[in-house]
Amino acid sequence: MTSEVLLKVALGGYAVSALLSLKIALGLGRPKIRPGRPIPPSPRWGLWLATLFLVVHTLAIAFRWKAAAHLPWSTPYEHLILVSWAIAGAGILGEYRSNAWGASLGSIIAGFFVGLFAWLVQDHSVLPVSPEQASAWYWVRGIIEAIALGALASSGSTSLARLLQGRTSIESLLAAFSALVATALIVARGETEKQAWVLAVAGIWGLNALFGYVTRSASEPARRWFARITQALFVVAWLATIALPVLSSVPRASRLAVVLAAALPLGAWVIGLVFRTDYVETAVSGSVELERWGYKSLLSGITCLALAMIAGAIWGCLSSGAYWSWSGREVSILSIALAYGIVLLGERSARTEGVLIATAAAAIFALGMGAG
Amino acid sequence: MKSKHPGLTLWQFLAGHALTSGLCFVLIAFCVLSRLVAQEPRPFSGTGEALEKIYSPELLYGLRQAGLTDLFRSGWFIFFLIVLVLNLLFILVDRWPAVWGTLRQKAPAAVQAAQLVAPKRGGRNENYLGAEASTAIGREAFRELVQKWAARHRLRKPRPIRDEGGLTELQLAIEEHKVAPLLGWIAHLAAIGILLGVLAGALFGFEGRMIVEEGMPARHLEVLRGADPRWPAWVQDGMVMPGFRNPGFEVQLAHFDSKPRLELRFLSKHGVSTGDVGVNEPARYRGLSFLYRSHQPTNQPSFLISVMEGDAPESVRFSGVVPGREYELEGASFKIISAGMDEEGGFGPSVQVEYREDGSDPERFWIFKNHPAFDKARRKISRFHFVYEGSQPRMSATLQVVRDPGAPWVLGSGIVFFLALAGWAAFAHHRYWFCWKPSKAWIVGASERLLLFAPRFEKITRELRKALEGPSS
Repeated sequence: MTSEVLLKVALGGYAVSALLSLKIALGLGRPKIRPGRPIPPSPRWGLWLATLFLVVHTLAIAFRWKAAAHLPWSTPYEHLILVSWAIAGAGILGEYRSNAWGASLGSIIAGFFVGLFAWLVQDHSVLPVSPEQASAWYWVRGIIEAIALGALASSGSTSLARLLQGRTSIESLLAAFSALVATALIVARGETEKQAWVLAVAGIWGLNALFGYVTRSASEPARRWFARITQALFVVAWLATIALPVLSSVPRASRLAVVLAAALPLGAWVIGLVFRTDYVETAVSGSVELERWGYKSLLSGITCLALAMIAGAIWGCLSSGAYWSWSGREVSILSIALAYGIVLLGERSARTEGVLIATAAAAIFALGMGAG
Repeated sequence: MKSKHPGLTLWQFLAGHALTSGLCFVLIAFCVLSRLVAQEPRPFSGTGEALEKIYSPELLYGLRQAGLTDLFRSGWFIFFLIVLVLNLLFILVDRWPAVWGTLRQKAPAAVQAAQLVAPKRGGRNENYLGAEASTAIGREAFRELVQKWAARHRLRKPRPIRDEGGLTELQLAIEEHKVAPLLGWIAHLAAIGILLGVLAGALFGFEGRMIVEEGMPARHLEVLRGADPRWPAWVQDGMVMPGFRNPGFEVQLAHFDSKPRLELRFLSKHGVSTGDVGVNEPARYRGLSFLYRSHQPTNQPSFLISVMEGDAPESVRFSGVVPGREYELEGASFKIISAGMDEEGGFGPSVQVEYREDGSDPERFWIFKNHPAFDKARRKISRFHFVYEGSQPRMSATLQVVRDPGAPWVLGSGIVFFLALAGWAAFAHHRYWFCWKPSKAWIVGASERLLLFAPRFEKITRELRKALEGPSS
């Protein structure tokens, strides 16, 4: 029980710290620059708060360990909580090590969503370990896999931060966030015939975000066309979002997703009008350090994932006679390893934009596969 | 017609990581598809719902025809795995000369320092950084300076690669972690080992089931996937039993305890051996792994019978005695014919025994639990006397029987892959060149991982520039 309360506090804390980091990322909470004086550093409240709540999260896992009387990653709920901890922890570590503002933002949001997913979808019961799970290889696989996923998520998060730096509008950013919220909630409570409709709307918002991003990157005259497509998509997404609850009998939770998906871009549009923040400002400083951290975490994540797969294969040989059984978890981990493997193959000495996009896409894909 | 890309030959395509990436994309597509379309449940997995409950018969027929319900055993999947193996083989052959050349050469080739001051991309996976400094120090002082720097940073001793004396150019070189490209090459080799192991398992692997009842040897295997062609079909009462094979040995449940843990006895013409089976602890016999799956009591009981020879005070106890099976004694044998319930009259539960001494006709008689001396009193002239001590539920265990000839290859290659990958990730092949000419010096660095190498290079540049320019300033 204590563990669940602490986890709730930690997840709430991640949400608040993500908003604080986002506020700095949007350039809203920056100290004023005075002529002739050095630029003062932004207070990193988001990072400090996230660190505090990472400690709370750690305590939640420790209490769970005490309650279960075994290492707490034997059930899907426990495993996801551990993965959420590793993702948030790797992101925070990355921001401290690279000293780059906003480096942990993506990781904290991802950690929050993984934790929320575990909280909403999975059974919280403390269960005794099954006889098959009473193997050192099983526990080794669990912890190394979580560390690997944390490191890879951090790599994806830093790539996303670099990509968004000064190049995307608030509308696009929050449209992407809307798509993520809608998808996460639908996956969480998605046992409905109409989920395809809701996912389609989330997909349109996602496309809107993508085109928004591309518009900022494109050169003239493609920019004009991209801008038109983005505007058209925005209108279509809005109409579809508003029409959805009326036209289909979506469940309550999905309606909430729809409302959020509709409200966030509208809010972003208003913010954009009021504050005239056309682009997300350069909150991510120290780009080279950030790239190095992203690359290091990619290398270590891939290596740890290989080790986790070997530990899992040995455990599989002992418990089921097969080193690989194509279970849902194994397929997800393999596909994540392949996705990041592609990034590693494409990686050369410098992190080009293509590599950054591939890393970010791999991270989003990993989240999707994990949730699926 | 001239090709637009004359450099892009078929060999380069087959030995390129672009093809590897494409194949990885295809494999990812398979993984995603397997999460969207329900797959045929695997034997013993205990998970997965029958596809008939998920899809309509028409849709299921279509999915099965398209091979979408068993994606990872489909021909397409195996085809792409084979292409991946070929791609990796081409990569190995293509990269080997460069890897071997790096290992064999004592020092890197000289560089044209003046051309490398600005960052420039070199060959495949190789990038250069360069810096120049003006200096007033002499040739030998420069050599000493570089040697000291290398010693301070625990690097190898610099090798002169261009040293003609006098005022001509001096070029020193240091190489670090030149085994790194070899580690990358080994990782590719290990990946091939994994894939070939997977292929061997798919082609020659076997998975089956044996149900062993206490007191009754199991002599046949139920085949679930693959089979050894040397095993004949299982024939019972003159009928061939489809799906069952005779592996040429029998398995007995020698002992069972409640952990659960089974002791198995394997009998064949080669002799008898035993093996323990528990959860996560398979037993191995003749290349097969026997894994514990489940155990349950059967409807039939087994009996505990004591046999005494003449007036000897000691008796031999037979536990787990099952009806119909003959048990050997010295010069005699017995078997249980039938069992009786607890009847009125105080005799208690009973069993009917068929007893045969060598060279004589069998005789049948009853023994009773509540009257241990009954048989001795009734059959005084017999060599052996029987006492019925009790009964217990008869256990039956289900064993999963597996043979995967590829498993050692997969696991061994997997470990090699991990070690090579970890080594490759931890170390990168770095090279430094230190060039001197009167009044000018260059420092050139090359690495296959420039992003991580750059800060180090900047540091040494700073250090050396300070040392070089120091005396003149």
